[in-house]
Amino acid sequence: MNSFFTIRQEWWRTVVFLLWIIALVFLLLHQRYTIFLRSEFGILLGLGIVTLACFLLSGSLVAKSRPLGMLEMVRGCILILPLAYMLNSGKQGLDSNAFQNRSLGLPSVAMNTPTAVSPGTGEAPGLEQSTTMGADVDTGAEEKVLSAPAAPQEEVSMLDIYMNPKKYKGRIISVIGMFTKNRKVQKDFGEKAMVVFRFMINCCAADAIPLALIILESDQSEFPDNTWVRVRGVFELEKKNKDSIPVLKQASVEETKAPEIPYIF
Amino acid sequence: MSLTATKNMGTARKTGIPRFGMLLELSFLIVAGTLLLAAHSQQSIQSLSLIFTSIILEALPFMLFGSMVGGLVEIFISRERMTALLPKKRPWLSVFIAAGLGLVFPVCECAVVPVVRRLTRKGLPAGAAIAYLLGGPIVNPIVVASTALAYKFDGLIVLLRLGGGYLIAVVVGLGMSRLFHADQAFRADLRPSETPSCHCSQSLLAPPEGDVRFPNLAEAIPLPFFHEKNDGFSCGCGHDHEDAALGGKLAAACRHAANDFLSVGHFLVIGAFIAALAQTYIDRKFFLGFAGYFGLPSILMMALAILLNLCSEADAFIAASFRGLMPLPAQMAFLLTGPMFDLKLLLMYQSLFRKRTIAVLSVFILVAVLAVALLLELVMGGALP
Repeated sequence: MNSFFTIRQEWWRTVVFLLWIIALVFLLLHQRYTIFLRSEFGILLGLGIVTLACFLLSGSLVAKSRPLGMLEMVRGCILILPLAYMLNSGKQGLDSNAFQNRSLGLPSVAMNTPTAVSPGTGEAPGLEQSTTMGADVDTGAEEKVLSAPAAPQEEVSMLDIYMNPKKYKGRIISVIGMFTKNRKVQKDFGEKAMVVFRFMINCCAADAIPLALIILESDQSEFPDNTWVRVRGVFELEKKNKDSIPVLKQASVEETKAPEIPYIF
Repeated sequence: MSLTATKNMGTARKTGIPRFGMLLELSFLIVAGTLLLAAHSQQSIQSLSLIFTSIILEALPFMLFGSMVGGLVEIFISRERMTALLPKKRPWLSVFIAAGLGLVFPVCECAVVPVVRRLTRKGLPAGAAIAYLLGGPIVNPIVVASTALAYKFDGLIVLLRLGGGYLIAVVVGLGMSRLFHADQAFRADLRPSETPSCHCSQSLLAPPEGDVRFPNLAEAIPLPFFHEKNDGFSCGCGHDHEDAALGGKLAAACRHAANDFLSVGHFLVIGAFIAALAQTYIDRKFFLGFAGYFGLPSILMMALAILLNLCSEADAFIAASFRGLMPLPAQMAFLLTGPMFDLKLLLMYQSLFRKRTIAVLSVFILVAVLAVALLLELVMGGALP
């Protein structure tokens, strides 16, 4: 017991700060933090590292310190605990387990405005300012796009589809997402119905909202849950009660590489 | 073991608070650690890990910046300067000013308690002290920034939080000043006195050895994590900040900030873990049931805020994660309750107020927050956003 108490507070505090600094530097250098946070948070994490370094250095200037007590030891361990959980987080972000928990029903899109979205868990504030990938979301361009001849195949983001469902109706599109099967979807659309989904985040994975497409009439139906797939098919909106459900018909599904950032913003 | 450390540990044993707190913290550590070791490969535990880490990583920078600002305020802003801003002869006016003082002196709810103790000893009116105590952790630029970021710069939510926090701070401050005189509201050892000026809050936690003015002070609240050795300076932190050079002051500010962070950080970890558990294992459809009843979501979220003990500089991120689960008035109830009243504050308030004052103050805060939330629900509706 005596040897336990000979650990100095400053040593322990140095260990706590140092471990956090190492973890944050690793996350930043390898861009791993994007599994947890929006990419913009990198700057804040960087400033956090600087602050922690200041704490570390200021602590080292203290000439005298107290022996470490049990309370401090426990609290230090609690502060380090998230690092252990961080190591267990995997590499691919939220998966079908989170999709099941966060879905409040069938995915549906709002048709009244081109920028509205109702992905089954509520509309996210500020969505209209979000960045999109691979498609024009300018509302003024909508008429033009609708009257233009459909491209044979378009790579679009899930978010874009939710923001502009009318734009893609009847067109062949290609979407990347995670594959899963969902009981509720199968109940409403038949046993062969599948789901491809991605999570949209505002700040971090804790506020992630699932955006999903239902795959109907596909040529390939068996993938393990959470496989990243590219789905090509004709985009349609199916009416269920008062909701417009986004579906892909005559779809082909193939496994693909996971995107660098699993979420969409 | 040094003499001071032995005395501190002895104090901790006498109060019972740290021992009970430590048992809870140890239990949390064992449960959380065992869960990770036993089921780390399960899909749900991986989701839990991801959400837990996300909340921590998101809140951490704000917690660090808040601690740093608190440390700088402690060292560079004298309490005399703060007190000079308040009109002592018109207590009602000082309540209005004090409730918004956080805009100038931004501190989180943990840092504000020792500051208020110092201001109280300087003769600050009870109403103003309570208004700053409640308003400071909400009406401040760091909380504005974190709330804005968490809610993706939704101005309405930021305004509602600031406005609601200010309003409650003023109303409760005025109400408490009508009911209690400073002598009745505060602990006997907080009567205005000619105490030497010092910006270090930690003297309140570990008074100088042999100081008989505050005999029960150290028993009121748990000793801070990693508190530096008290070697007899007026503030008890071991450094004479008044005469220090700029470099020394900055280093002292960093040390104070580090101590603040280490004293409060574990509350954030525990709160984030509970929030992550709820997110991982509670189906969101479960919350839809609460959303249908008038006032119930707000009460549920207030209870959650009291249990989670989150820092006001980081709690917006937790509240924002309930978007789509709880209506906005309930999220606002969460955002207003936590910085004013939670389990850790209940302990810390014992270092400021008499027990009766705490009981009345608690009721005032909870009723005021609920009233604001219900009013919002009447105006905005209780539907999920």
